[in-house]
Amino acid sequence: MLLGIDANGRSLRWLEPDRGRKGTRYAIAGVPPLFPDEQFIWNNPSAADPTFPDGLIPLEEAWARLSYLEPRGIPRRIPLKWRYRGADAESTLNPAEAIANAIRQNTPIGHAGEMVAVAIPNHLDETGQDDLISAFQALGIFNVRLLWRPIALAMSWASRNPDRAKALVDSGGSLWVMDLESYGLELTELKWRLHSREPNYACPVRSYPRRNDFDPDWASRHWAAKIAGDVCGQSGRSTSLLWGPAGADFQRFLEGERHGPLVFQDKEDPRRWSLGEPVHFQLHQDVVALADAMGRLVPGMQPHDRILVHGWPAAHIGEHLARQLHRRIDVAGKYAVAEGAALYAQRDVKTRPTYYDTLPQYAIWVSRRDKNNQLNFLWKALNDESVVDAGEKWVLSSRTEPDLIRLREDTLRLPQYVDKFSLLVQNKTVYDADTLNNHEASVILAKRLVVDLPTMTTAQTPLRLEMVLRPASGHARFSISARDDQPLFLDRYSVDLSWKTAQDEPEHKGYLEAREVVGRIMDRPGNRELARLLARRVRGEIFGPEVMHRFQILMDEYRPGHIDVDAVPVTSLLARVLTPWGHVANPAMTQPTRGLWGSRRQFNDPELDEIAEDMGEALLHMGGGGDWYKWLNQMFVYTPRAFIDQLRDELSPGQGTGHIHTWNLIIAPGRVFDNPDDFQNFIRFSLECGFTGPDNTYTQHYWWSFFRCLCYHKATAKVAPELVYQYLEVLCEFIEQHDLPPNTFNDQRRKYALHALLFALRLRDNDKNLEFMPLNDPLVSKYNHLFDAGRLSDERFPPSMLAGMGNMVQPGDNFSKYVRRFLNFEDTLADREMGAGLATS
Amino acid sequence: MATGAMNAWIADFPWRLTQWPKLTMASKAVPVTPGKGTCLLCPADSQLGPLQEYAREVLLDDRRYLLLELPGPAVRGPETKVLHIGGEQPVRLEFEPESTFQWRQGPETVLEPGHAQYDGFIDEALARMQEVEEFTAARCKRSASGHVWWPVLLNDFMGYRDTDEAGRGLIVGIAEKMPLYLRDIVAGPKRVLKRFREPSRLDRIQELDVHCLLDYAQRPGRSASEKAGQKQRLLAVIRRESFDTLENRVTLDFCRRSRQAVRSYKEQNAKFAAFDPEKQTGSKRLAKVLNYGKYCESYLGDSVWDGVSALAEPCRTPNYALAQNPLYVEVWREYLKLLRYANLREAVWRWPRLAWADIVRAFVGDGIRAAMRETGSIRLAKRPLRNGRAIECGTWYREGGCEGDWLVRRDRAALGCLYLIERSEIRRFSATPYLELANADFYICWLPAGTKQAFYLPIWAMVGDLRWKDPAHADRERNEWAHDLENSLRVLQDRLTADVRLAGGAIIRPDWMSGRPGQTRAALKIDDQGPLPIWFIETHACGNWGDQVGIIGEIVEGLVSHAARN
Repeated sequence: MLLGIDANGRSLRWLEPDRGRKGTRYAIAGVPPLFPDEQFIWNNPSAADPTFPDGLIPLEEAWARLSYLEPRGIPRRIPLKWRYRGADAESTLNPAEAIANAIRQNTPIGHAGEMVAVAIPNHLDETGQDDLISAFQALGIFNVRLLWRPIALAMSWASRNPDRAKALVDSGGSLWVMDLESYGLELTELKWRLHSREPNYACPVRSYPRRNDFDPDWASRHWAAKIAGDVCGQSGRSTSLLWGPAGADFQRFLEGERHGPLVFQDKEDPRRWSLGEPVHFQLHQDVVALADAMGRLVPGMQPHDRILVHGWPAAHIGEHLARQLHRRIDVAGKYAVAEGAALYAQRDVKTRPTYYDTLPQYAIWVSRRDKNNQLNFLWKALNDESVVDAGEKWVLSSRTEPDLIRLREDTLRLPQYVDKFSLLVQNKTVYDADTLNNHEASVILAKRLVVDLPTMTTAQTPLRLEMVLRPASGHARFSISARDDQPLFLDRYSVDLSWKTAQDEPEHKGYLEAREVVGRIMDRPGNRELARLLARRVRGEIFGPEVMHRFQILMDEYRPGHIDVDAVPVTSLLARVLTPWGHVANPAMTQPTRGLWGSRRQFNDPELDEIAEDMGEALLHMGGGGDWYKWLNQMFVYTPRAFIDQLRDELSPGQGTGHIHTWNLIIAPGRVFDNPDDFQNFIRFSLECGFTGPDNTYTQHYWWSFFRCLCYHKATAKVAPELVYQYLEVLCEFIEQHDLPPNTFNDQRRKYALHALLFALRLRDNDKNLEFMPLNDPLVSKYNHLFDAGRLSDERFPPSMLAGMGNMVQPGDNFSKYVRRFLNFEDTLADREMGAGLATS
Repeated sequence: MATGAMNAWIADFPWRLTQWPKLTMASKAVPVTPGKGTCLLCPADSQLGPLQEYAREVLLDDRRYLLLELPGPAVRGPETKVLHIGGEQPVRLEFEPESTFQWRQGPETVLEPGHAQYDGFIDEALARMQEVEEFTAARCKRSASGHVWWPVLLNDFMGYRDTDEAGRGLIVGIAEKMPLYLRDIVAGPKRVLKRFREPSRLDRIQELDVHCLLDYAQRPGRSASEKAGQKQRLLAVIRRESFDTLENRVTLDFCRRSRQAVRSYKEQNAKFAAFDPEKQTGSKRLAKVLNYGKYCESYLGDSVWDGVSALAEPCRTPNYALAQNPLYVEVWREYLKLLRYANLREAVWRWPRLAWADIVRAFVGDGIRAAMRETGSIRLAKRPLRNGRAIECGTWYREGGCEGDWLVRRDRAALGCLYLIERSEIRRFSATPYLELANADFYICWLPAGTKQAFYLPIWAMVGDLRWKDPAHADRERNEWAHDLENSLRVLQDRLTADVRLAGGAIIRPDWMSGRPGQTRAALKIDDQGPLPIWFIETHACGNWGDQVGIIGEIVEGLVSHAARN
């Protein structure tokens, strides 16, 4: 059995072509369950409690949430919020699940064995498609195909008007499908072409939708709401008429059918209902404005183009619109979308051609050296925008497109300047359209997949790329693997980016993300053995010759350069193992500095926890004055709880600074405090002592510790924004009052002041909807003034940040300019990628 | 006088809660009868022990209290005579012996002889709700959303007109279904071969075990024929078929329980005659059950069961034959129903009033629906039926389910909205303080158009006790209740805000104490001339209400006209 379903708008229609059956359910709305163990009722709005205002969730609203386009054109899925009436609890509903449930409860979809085609809005993005398919599968319905609504309308239209479709093929004209039943007015231009596999079949060609094809202000729902308002009058609640017990009758009234009484709810007392009088309504006064909107949306309509209008208002405005546009328009029938979807299912089952779709262009973020050995970053297009057969999986790989892929892969090298591997893929078609429309800051630049890697690459590894796309199926996957079939990292052979799960990367952020450092203990098993032996050594154990030999080998493997482990004191061993090394120790190395332990906690690794406990115990009892703080803080998040408690006590506000006798105590919080409460206390303590306790030389350490807390640990950004703001104010005053020289070995205040400013901007990434240091903030101006006055300028990039990738820096650039770009929201993607190098230990 | 540290007050009738704060303190002197709906009120932070989950919260003078309807005596254990409520120093309440019934302990757990009518009421109520449960389960499978609506239940199920006078009950279904299965089982019960040791003739001996060999060795003689003696018999193992298997023991127990149920049914319906094929009169249902009783008697007398031992306690786990054999599986299914039925009866025994309220819910809903149909009113809501998975506190329904809401119209003009609200919903429906003091099971709410006023008519489900067997006593009690209720409603009316008015009250009772149905079903309107008319309705549980639901229509009509007058 085949089934075509049109579930958008206020009417849910289905059509079963084999048996000639069809059905309509009007004004579908979900009745929230009383208790958590019950399900939504989607097939009977009158099941709702009529005394409960707004107790229903309209199906139309679920579509709107799923395919919601913000005014700036960004797709976003907003969950539906509702509350149980019987149980005192609130919950959210995934719009895709709501739609799937509504369709299941109102159509014979559960009995459709062969194929079901469900019409979806033309602007529903890949994630929305994927959500919808997953929701159907969760209900046990696997034979679902999605079809664009304009395509369904066009296929239905072409089956009824084959000559007109052929005429469009001959003339090269377009069919403009104007769908009023979608969330907003969708105006889609469809070119027509004879299909290569069936020369007599004229099929529509869907171009990738641009955001400006859509106008949320014009849709049948707005007219329905307006008329409902007229019926209800001043004292009535129009939503109760639209979606209440008389919702179906009201829709019949709108569509000119026989209808029952129109009852609506009182605005003040939801328990009282009244009878509404049907009003005579006219929509033609809106036609001039609508025609203007259409003219704005589609400036390039040709004389031989045709217009197809769908939606119940079409019957009221059709003639006026035709007159206004000076051309004839076709009005689609009520079942046109369901009919088109059923046609699609019929053809698809027989593997006959249906329509042509357009693949968007995707681009990947790669680095490339120019002739001056300068490293540049650029978006490299992966494919061209192309027309493909609908519904087919489209694979781009060296097997399917050897020439194309060879050209693309030439530029693909694994970036080696960070120990975090980011795969960034851009939908170039959408991005270009968005930037053309001046959407500015809210435009999504790309999808980012961050892979936490335990080891770094040391060479430029040639990579292989594969991408698999299928239009209208939510399917977009990108995979990167080493070209020589070797594992990329340890046992990981490929990095796969799914369009659904990867995170959105906005065009500009104005801050750097926290980057957790993976300790070297995760690099290879030998390092764990080394850590165990080192802990024993710290406890004073004397090894026999065999163990000592093994210890020597492990030490030599761990870090280049030989030392005699038997001859040197334990502190030298600790300095060699725990202390970060890399570029600092050996400038020729291309790796950033890392020690044995890192700020990333590995969960479900009992062996690691046991080693950490063992070493922590050993270090706690080692003694040794200032070194005690030094070794323990270098255990990062694995440091013993007793050490954290002691730090908390010693660095609490009100403690004073008399007891501080080593700067290792001040830098310890930077590595160790990974929660907002501790960090907050440390900020208060720093502010209390004015960055100077016990003496002025400690200032840089306070700043180092402050920025490291924000750099290493993700949770620290949840600190109170006003406190960080105050910190930056005090910092600004300090810089104004003190002359900070350029970075020297003994005085690194300017360098760390810049770091503190840079990472404090992380609070811009908060979910409280508060703007932290927006561009018009007086503090931003003050810092800009400090840059202008030369108090923070001309600081060079930290060598460990670039880690041997000096050619990444553009000529004339420096760290001061780099930080200033973030301050003023002028940072680029390349800047943010470079920032990953700052996450050294 | 309170006997414990916990402050608690007693409302001996549900509507007496309106007397708050002049309620009597809980003490052992207060009689607690299960059919009267006696309630205990205590502060919200009180610990009520196992009964805590059955208490509901009420707001009085802006303070939260817990209201607990007290259960009747338990069928076993310490709560058969006394109820302890509370934590460390509980309130001790004694059940009033005169008004309660005696529960006879035994496998069939029935009431003492002489209480057959009350027993019949419980059977009817249970049977009705079990049928509703089965109907709902079947319809849920066919429903897209997995729900069954109240109108569907009332149309397709309650609307069924039952002409048979004899009551319903689980045994009726069993009597219809099981005779054929039992006949086949008795004709060829499952058997096993069991080993016995018996002196056997020499030419018949097939097997000897150690015991037989010992016996053989101890016998005098040299050869087998010498040892066999004069009768030429030796001790040998022989195999003989036996019917003493678990499945047969269960079948036997099932027959015994069925026989007991038939006896109870017969006693409950003694006033009816069984169907007479010649005269074509009498109850077919009763005839069927009586016939089944005869089958059971004859099966139990069959020699097949001679060697089958009785079950010491009900079987809970089936063996392979009970789970798979087509005949025994049917016995097992019905046997479980009988066992479950015994448990359900115990629950209803403790909470008879709340079990009756389930029936009243359908009765009132059916009446309102009929009245609304006549006036051509518009249905505003179609509520789903919310059955619980198990009977809880005597009730099957979870909160939130009543027959729908209506926009009443006359001559195409809207008169107002009519709602049927259950007790747990009333606070959410109307924020009027003290309204929930009525403590009614249901409220018919009338919101006339063009005014801000709201009119309420509370309805209580009441069961009563054995004293109602005496008609004179019943009359006296009925009038006492009505006047007491009217006084309580007057007190409540004075506390309500000006825009909330009471339009009387109704008590709906089962007619189990009376004779033939139809003769004594009464709908009395007491104190007709007063501002607060009290309705007193007696009906029965089996749902065959017929035109009796028209009384609800009269109540609704009275409510509307009362509102128009005031």
